[in-house]
Amino acid sequence: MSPNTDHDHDHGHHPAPPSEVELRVAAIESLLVERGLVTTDAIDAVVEAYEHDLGPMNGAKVVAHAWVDEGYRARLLDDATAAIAELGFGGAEGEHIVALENTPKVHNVVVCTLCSCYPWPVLGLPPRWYKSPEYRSRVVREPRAVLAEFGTVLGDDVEVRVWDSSAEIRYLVLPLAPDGVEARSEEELVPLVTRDHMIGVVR
Amino acid sequence: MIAEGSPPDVPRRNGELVFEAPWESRVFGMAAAYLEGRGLGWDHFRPHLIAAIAECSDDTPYYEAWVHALEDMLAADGVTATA
Amino acid sequence: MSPPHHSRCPRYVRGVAGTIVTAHGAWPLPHTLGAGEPESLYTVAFAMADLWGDDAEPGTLCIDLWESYLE
Repeated sequence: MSPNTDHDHDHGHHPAPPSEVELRVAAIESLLVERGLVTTDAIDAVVEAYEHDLGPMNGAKVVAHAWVDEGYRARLLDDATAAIAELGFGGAEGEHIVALENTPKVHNVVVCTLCSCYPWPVLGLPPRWYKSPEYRSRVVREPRAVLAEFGTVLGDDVEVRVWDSSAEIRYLVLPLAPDGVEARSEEELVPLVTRDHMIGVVR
Repeated sequence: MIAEGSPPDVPRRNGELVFEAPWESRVFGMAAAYLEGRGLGWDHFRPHLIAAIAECSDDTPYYEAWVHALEDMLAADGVTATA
Repeated sequence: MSPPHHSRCPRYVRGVAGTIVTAHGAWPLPHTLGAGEPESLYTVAFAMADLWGDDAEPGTLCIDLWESYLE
């Protein structure tokens, strides 16, 4: 009898059996779809949006624009929700945004100690460390130590302000503009603005 | 539908995945789609998330708290029979 | 089962004196905690020393609290 050539096929990885949490998630999805409360397409569309369309590249455009346009900066500080809408950004968790201006004397950093509130339209979904019990408990107690772990060391003459997003307001840090900003175009400035600048763990 | 595992073309933001496993993206997407379908904001979900995070141990994966919170919300909303 | 309303006031600020930075009034949204009248929102600043003791890092903690969380 000739060998069964099927055994020669490389089947690649064999997926592990689903974990308990994966089973629970699948069960909830089945239930919700059965009841007509969600569609698979709607879920896919949300995931697609949060994986592709929303992210700190949005906030970077807001910040760079504020760095080059004094009028925009003033509007951003006065009503950030309206100002980000000027650039086409808005939506869930961005209905009430407040921009926090870093100055030579003040450094702002944002947290949500209760869960993980974060300005999604301008920063996307938060990084794992932002949601960790360690960050959430330590940054309100020892912000300078936490910032130092991000490589951010502040002089004693700089006041650190920690903002706990405990209600509906979502905070976006407006970092200090780099030296020589006047000589640079907005397009050159956008890549300088990182998510960590806009959370405030980097100055 | 999100592919299993971490193929090289999965988009990353700042060097990390938005969702670390497909089930995380499903639970997030489900919560969002459910709220949107019912015309509710995230404030309807948030108290359940806060409570779930408070109840979960520190080493519980973050999105597992979401699963608890989603189950609690659906029970509170009368969609499911038990919490 | 609805979660207890005090879940929106983190424990670490309870019982501590702070300074109102901004009285938002009904902005962003009038909020009703439990049964009762819609409440105003306040951004309150706390000195780190008042929260964590004199040996704490200097600095300020700002947090958004509804009126019924304030005395």
